[in-house]
Amino acid sequence: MDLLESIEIEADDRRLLGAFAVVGLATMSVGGLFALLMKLVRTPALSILPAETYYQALTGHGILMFIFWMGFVQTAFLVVAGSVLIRRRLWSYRLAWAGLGAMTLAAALALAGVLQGTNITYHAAIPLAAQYPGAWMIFLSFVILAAGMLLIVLDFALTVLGAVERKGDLDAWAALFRSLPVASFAALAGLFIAVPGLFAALRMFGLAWLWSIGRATVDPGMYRMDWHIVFHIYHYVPALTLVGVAYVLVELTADARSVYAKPLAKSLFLLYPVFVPPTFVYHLLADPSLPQQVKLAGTVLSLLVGVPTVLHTFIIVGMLEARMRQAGFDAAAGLRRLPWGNPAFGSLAVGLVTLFVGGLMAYALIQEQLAPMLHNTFLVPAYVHPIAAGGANITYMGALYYGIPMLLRRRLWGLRLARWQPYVMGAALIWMAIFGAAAGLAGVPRRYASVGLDAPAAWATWMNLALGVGAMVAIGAGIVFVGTMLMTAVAGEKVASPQAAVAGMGPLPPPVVRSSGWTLLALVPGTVFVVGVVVLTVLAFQRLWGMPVQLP
Amino acid sequence: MSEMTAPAGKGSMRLLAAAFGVAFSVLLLVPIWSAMGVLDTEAGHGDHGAATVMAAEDFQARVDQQLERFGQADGSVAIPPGTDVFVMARQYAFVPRTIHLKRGETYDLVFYAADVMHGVSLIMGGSLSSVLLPGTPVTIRVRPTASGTIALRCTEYCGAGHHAMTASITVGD
Ligand code: HEM
Ligand SMILES: [Cu+2]
Repeated sequence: MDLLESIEIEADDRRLLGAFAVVGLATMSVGGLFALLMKLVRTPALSILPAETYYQALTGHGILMFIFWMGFVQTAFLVVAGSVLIRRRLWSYRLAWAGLGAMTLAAALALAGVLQGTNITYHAAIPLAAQYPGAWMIFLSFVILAAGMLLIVLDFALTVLGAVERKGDLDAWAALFRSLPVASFAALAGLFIAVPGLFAALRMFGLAWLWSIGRATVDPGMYRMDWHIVFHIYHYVPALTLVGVAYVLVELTADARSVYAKPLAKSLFLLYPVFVPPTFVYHLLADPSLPQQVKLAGTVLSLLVGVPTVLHTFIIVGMLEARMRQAGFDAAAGLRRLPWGNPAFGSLAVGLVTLFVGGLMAYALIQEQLAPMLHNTFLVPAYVHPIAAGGANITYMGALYYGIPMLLRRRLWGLRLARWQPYVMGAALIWMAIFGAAAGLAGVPRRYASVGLDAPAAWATWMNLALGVGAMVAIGAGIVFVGTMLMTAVAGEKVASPQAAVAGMGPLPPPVVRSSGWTLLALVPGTVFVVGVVVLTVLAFQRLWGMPVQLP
Repeated sequence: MSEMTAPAGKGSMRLLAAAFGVAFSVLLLVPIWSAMGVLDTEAGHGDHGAATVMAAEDFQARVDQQLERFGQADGSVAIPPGTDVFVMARQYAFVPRTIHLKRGETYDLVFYAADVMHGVSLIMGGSLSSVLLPGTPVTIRVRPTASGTIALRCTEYCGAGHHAMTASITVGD
């Protein structure tokens, strides 16, 4: 396992990444606490807290989980990709600390805004925000966050690109790009969407902040459009990051390397900046301000949005399949021998499965013709969670199952618990997705404190199943994760090296006995995905046509 | 662990090509839409009408007029076929709150948000919804095909009373 053996973590990186972990996990924990509060209101069988608490928790949860927790992971990934993975020192540690400091300050400011009752959701719509005196805190926190992230982006870019001394020498650049590991290249490619997105965020939230303190005017329609563009870009950065992390995890946990030439995997990351920006339209499909033709064009373009991820999945699954064949196993035996009991591998596998489930639902949502039936229903959080809390979040948790012990040079505490954690969390999120989708199809709106007494009876049933059961178990699994991390920090057995800290985390990969291994099975997930998209689409249209209210 | 290299044989290149084929075949949805008859580029199907801004007083006047002409003793309105239905959305109520329509007839429901962004969803079995941007009337053309009640809910978060914004349409024979 060359990658694992080669990892050294310098003292400066240890301190910086340790700080990222502390702030990030604290943010995630508070975000999870808000999820628990929300669930207590939104589960019809419970409904034990006032509606106002739900909107407050919704605001806190969306902002802390989606904007900040993802933001901390994203930037920590840049730090790892620009230091540990390429065995360099960051261009400047001061700059990175300044970035992290700004982001932390921003998180605290946002939390203060939420606690003060600025219940405007992460959507922070204008003019609604004018009715909340604390709105400036939320807007300003977004500005400071974007600025902090840009500092880290700058540091990363200078570190990686600074490796080329003669900037005019094309061969030197080509050599650099060839030598970068896939994950570091992914981080670099991600900048093509992250940098414009962050600058756009600075501008629009800067203006919104000035508006909230009475120093500027903002056109609500323009703000809404800008918001969706920025948000759309921002939510593809985790998509790209999770794939980059997945490449590291398969190599670390299963000793699987790229079967296809690395340049291919790398160039696939460049597809994201091509396919992602034009597809923001799909967030506005239920919006009366866009002409039909624009919506349709947006829908057709949006079909391509999953293409890079489907291709990466083929390569990643292929890496595993080839590795098992190289060890002399056929497909069935190979599947059994994968290191399922390694919590990092389990998290990766579960992350990919939940991403698959969420992706299927997403393909129904991006179809303009179905938008009136699906948009703004509970189907939206039902698909967001398997993607964000599953695909991205669980994969990141997998990285932390290795990362935290390696940083602390302590063995993971509670390995037995950790082995189960990703599977339980993934199953709970998929459960929540299925019954949440049922609720959405029955008409339950998203962002809605109460289903109300006059609501159809089915609403309460679906919501009790989705949240009463699914969300509860998912939150439990989240608590187990944070618990193991904390216990590792205080009670994990101390060891001498990062490698020793993760030795014994899972079964060792079987030895390689032959050099070639092909990857036929790796085609299966993508094929099932496309077939699933077609089947779900046809079913969704049948449902639309079967409704007693028709749009003639 | 022994060093190994990529087995980039012809077979694996063919598999790679297949993977590209699979990934891009999501574009098959375009001919499928066409076969299902849902690929219309013309405005009309589920279209929300042109987005023109209107003053809140003007829209309110139509709602008031509607109440005068079709208002019932209980405060609801009974709209004859062929007449547009006007519904005002404000924090935190739809006005009128109860609307009577006839089964099998086609109506234009015109919604208007006066203060902040709202949404409206017509819920019967499933739901059909649209966003309401402040100042822009949105027309949803519907034909209820079964009698019963269509529940109306606000679907765009609009503040503390968001979930209290409800109304209903009763569909009778
Ligand atoms: C244990 C895990 C979690 C549970 C039980 C949970 C539960 C919920 C619930 C009940 C809602 C409200 C949905 C609604 O009423 O419309 C929600 C919204 C949301 N959650 Fe989570 N969540 C979890 C983790 C996460 C994570 C890890 C992320 C992101 C990384 C996330 C992102 C979001 C987003 C973006 C929203 C939508 C907010 C909005 O519409 O304003 N959640 N979540
Ligand atoms: Cu409303």
